[in-house]
Amino acid sequence: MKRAGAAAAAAALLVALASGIKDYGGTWDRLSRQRSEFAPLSAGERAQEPGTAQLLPVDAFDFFRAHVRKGERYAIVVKAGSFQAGVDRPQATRIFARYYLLPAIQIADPARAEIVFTVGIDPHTLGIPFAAVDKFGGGAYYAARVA
Amino acid sequence: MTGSLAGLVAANVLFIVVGAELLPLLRIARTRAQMRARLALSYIVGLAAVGVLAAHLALVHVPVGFVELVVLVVVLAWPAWRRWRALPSGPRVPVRFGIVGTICFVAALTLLGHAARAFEVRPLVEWDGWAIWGMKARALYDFGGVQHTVFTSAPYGPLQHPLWLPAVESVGFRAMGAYDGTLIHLQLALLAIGFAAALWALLAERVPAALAGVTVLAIVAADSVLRQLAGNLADIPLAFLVALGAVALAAWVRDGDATLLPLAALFLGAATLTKPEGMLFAAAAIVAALVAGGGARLRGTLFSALAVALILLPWRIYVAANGLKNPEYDLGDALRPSYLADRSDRFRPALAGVWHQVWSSGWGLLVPFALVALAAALLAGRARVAAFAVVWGVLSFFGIVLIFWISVVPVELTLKWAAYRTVASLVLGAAALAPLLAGEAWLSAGDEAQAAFAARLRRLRASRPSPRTQ
Repeated sequence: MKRAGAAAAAAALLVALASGIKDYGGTWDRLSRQRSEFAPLSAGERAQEPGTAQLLPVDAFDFFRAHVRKGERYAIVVKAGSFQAGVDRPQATRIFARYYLLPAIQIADPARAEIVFTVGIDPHTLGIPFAAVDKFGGGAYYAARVA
Repeated sequence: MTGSLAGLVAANVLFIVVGAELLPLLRIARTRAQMRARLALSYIVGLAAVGVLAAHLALVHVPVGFVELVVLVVVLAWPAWRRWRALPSGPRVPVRFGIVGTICFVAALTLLGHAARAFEVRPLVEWDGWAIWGMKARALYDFGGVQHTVFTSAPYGPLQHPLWLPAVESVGFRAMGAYDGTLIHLQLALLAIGFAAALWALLAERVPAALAGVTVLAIVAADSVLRQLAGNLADIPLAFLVALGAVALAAWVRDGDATLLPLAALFLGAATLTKPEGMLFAAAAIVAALVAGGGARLRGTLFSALAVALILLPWRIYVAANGLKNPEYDLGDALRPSYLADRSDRFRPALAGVWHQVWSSGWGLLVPFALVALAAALLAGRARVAAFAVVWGVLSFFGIVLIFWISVVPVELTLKWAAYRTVASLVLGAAALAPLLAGEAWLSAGDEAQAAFAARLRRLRASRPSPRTQ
């Protein structure tokens, strides 16, 4: 039985060796392709990539980001619908903003926010008094500071 | 803003120093010979320990950066130096080298070096990589702890995910001087290199070098390992920690080598702080050690279990104090037969889905490797490690199935989203245990052959008349 065990151990070694040899080239090539794909990107493009990869309008989020400071509370109000990639617009906007607008803090209630961002909605229709309103993208995106 | 590569590298050098200091302090190395043989563990030990410390300090809003790392190195230096000076030389640790094993290990490190070059320019792309893990790491970096609602309010969920990986990455950001979602991928590649070195070091003490080398190569070359690691999800880091913890605990069960218990506790403890499933894999390993080790290993195993629980405790207190719930499942439901019966229609698809992912081609031949190695140990009559592997594997497999069974998310969706990565710890853990299983059979056959050869030699000598007597 011990000889059979040793034979099985040798077989295990061969299986592992075959596994390593079989996968090595493919993994190496995939890593090479990844480096070729991403190396030409600028630092800014790499920072935007989480949104770009989801086909989100990252330039609008850069506009939002320029309006918030660390620890500020913001709310995002988004018109129902989807972005060009078919991603649900309100959900994708809120999720990406949570990451991209850090260290500002997203809250649900616009009335409790220090700044309100809107997508596809004029903030004046929200019934909240604003001190200043900036728009971007021909009025598709707004940043409205609460008075 | 881009981070400083030099800062990240310097922080990782400090991880090595912290790990090297901890080897004698945690009694992982009890002789100087053992210290030399286990130096390759330094990096992953330092990284795991700093990750645990940083995750705990984040709960009390104390950030860990480069300065704090230097302080930690200095604080540990004197007791570590004193402990090291007191270490006896000790017998030579039988680390095995061989041409096949060394070539395979170097090939694995070359692949990981190539991965590091690819990772250093790779931005965050995968959804969960930035939406969950990147977001938590960035928030820890920005706020220095969990004081903000990011860690306690529903929109920022999942809130139940513990903080080991985000804490490690936030240490990296502080060392880099900026949040850099691209360069932090290098930290993940270094984690993989640390895993490979540690697995080699643990195995090479016990099994032929060829087995240790091909195992490391097979694991790191498997398509899913570096593919998933690149996504900045916590599943592969969890799998690395679980695999090392399981190997350390299995080797303790086999040899009774108590120096492995602090290692097992550290890696399994860090695993529980990496993802909620970490608790499942750690508990499975401890139960397996209790079953396979019997009374002779009972005390050591219980001490390890206690240490794992103590590592997890601060996080569990935080979760309870803030009422954080897992929206997808409640483990308590697994103990309610009526709940399980009501959802019995989920069992078969969950079982089939997990089984399918275990055998996915993305893991190469890691599962067949583990099964053939298990057969080898059983054929050789080496029951202890085989029992450990079987109990750990079966509990882990059905534990994963149970999670998908009790989840409230539609079963097809949750299997599609998560099964391919949830099985990573099971597959990598099984593959990492395989050399211990096959090595048992290999060495016992070698012992038998040596004994047979010696007996034949003795018989031959006895049958020949001595020339002096002629």
